[in-house]
Amino acid sequence: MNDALMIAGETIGSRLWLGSSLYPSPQVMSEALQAAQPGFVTLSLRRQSAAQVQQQQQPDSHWSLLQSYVRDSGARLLPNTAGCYTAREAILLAQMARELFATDWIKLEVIGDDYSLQPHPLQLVEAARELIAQGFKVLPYCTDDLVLCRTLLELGCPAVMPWAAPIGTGKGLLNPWQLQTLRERLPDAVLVIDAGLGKPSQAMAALELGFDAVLLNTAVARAQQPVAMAAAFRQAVDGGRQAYRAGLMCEQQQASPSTPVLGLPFWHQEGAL
Amino acid sequence: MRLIINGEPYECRVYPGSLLALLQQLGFLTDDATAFSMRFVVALNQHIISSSRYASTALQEDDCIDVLSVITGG
Repeated sequence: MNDALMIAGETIGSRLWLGSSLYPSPQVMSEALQAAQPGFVTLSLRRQSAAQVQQQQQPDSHWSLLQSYVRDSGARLLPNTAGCYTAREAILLAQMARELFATDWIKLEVIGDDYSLQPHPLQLVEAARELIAQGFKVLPYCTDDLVLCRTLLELGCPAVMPWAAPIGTGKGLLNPWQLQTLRERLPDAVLVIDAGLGKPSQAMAALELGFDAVLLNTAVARAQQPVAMAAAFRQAVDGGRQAYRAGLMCEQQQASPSTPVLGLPFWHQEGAL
Repeated sequence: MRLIINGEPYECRVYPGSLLALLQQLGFLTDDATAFSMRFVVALNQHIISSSRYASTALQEDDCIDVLSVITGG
């Protein structure tokens, strides 16, 4: 049965999405991408000198290897607006990203707090509204607030991307109850966990909860062996999705034997002897 | 002529005339105006200027020019 992930009318090739930052080298990044086979690869843009721009054109640069991976794999680029603190900044950066990367997809990130890198809900909504009006496919990085997620979806975001934990912490699903609530209250929405995952088991848990995909970077890039970790995340995401589709058993309080007791010799007869 | 380029003051000894000439002066473009081989995007006073408008975009004193290019990101 077809289990393709569809967002904004497009088929996304994988439920694992991967960032391109923090790897020990461009080559390791490239190999990690090969191992993960992500549906989206995130990247960004910044002010640069002519020398820096020229460096990115070298065949062994991050950008050249990333371009080559995307061309060969069919993965999509997902530029982000990381580092923006207001809707105005995020809108301009998104516009520049569209011009540079020739894509309408944007991971909308508007930060509201320096320490936790918590998204700013009000600025996020304002930026999403404007970018959607300009034809962007907005994938907002947001908190796990139900009303915020619903508002972003109603505005026209084709998916929402709540955090599991603050960016780069690797703490995993800090509030699984809330994440489960999102899944239950927004049954038709595409929900993607973005940020805070540290282990493949946490990605698997997110998929088991019914999340449609996970986006991560640090957990792979900062692993001792990023390429092996990328492969581990890929398997975990596949396993989690299969488990969700298979239907998890209902948790219960009381133990119940999995081995039938009928026919057991001496069943409850000890006292009778 | 005084400009702000990527947030830093920049004094042009030779008036570049157009955005295209400035980008050539800074090394973002070769002298061959058709060679837009390097990958970057430009904003003038926080408005994007597409590459087809580089030559027709005149610069004024205190203009802010931002040149952005790809970096890795999460």
